[in-house]
Amino acid sequence: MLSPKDNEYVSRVGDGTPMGTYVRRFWVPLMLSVDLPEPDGTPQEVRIYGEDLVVFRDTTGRVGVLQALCPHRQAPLVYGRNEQGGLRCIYHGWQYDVTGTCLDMPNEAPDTVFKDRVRAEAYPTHEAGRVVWVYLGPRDQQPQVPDMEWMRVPDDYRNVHRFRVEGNWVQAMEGDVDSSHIGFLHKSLRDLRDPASAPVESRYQALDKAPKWVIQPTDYGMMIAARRNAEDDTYYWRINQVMLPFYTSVAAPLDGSAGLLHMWVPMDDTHTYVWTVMWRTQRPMTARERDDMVDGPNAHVGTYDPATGGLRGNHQNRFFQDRMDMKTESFSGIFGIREQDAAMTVGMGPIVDRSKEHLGAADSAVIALRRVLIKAARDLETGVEPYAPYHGDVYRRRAWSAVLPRNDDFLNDPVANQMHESLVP
Amino acid sequence: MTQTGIALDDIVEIDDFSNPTLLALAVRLEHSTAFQQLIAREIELDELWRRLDTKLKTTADDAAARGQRATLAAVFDLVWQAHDLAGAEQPLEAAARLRQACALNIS
Repeated sequence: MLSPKDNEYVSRVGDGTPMGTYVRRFWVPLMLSVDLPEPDGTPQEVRIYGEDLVVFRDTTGRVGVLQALCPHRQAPLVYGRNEQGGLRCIYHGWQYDVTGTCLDMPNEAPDTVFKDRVRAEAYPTHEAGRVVWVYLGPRDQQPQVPDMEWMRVPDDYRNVHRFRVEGNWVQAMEGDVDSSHIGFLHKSLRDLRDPASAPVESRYQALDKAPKWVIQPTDYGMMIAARRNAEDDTYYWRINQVMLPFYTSVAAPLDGSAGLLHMWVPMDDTHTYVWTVMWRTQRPMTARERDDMVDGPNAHVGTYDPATGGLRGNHQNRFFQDRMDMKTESFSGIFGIREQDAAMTVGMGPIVDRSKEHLGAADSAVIALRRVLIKAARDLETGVEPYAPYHGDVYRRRAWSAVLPRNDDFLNDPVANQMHESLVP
Repeated sequence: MTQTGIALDDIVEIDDFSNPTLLALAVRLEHSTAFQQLIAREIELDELWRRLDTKLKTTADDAAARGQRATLAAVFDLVWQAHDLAGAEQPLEAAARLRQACALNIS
């Protein structure tokens, strides 16, 4: 349960809100670099933290992020001509470069100084991991780009999707720290009914649906360890990492061969860009593995619609839930892991009313996530600068899973601590 | 285990809002310092709050029950404050609210 006051506090990211001020201290993944494929190509519109932006790659290949509307008459710059080192509004020809400098004002006298007094709001950008990043915070507080494992692997080792969902970013993000739901929402009936013959990880999840939690706040956010009974002398551990402000790294397979990360970027208070990043640590992803992300029997994103940037499954069409499938194949009857999650979090409403919840021990990590976020924003309000955005190296931690000898002092277990370290130099 | 007789990382079932329950939770709060312990206390306070909320909603709203409702409402408010204070890592202040609630002698 959260009080209505705390619920508003943690959810809203508009300009001037405490959480909005906090998240603006970090670089934000904006779009795939491939969505700006060529110099002087088609500009794109995005909304981040309730701010409408236009994004373009200029003649020299630099990425510019400007306010969406021309400072002149507030006409949309996304229709603009992308040419000669800047974006030119097609209404009256005013042109801006990636820094927001007005380069040309052809409908005013050539000798006017008016041009020098007009600027478009422009934001710093960076490209890393084949993703365009933007910084929307105070210029004198520019942070470091997070140094995450997936950004260091070669391009063909990773697969990155971005799609839009309805609903607040925190409630979407909470699903990733809610480890106990994987024993239900994402399970096949076969694994639930016959755990003994399921793959080892599914078997442990199916046999022990009430994990024991070890939750540790860290300098990057929070480590969440879910402990399930494995064999008589071992525990099955799933360790997820929450990296501030909106990254969740989900436990990798037991062999450490892959990584999975989500980025829950607020478009505004009631819409979220969900990024899914899957990567291999030791080899390129195969074409089959990439296809399986969207078309496979256990697709990660099952109904992505390139035309809209969203999912075809939505609350109105009940995410194509198949009641026959629920009787015979799957617990949820919904195709696609992200669709299964979205069906739950979108269906809660634009901003869930957390004062009506009944939370138990299994929800410890959900509560912890809210508290970490609220504390971070409150600290900044009281003048305590955040640590993580200015230390990009703290984002090198990875999520992992393992079957380890039973040791109740998990936090001091040297084997466990070693497994937090990135597998990619 | 600690001097409170329980492992503070564990979550204790809250079965009622009697004074012994309030006092036991206050003691646990006073001994809780670690992040995970405070999360556990918040879950316990959540359940306490829920039980009071249910009781408030089912208590008759008439003259005969006016005194009981007022006391319930005061305890409810204190428990809510304690819940938010535990979440804000102020367990001693949260415990003090529960001790104030005990003094109202709802049970």
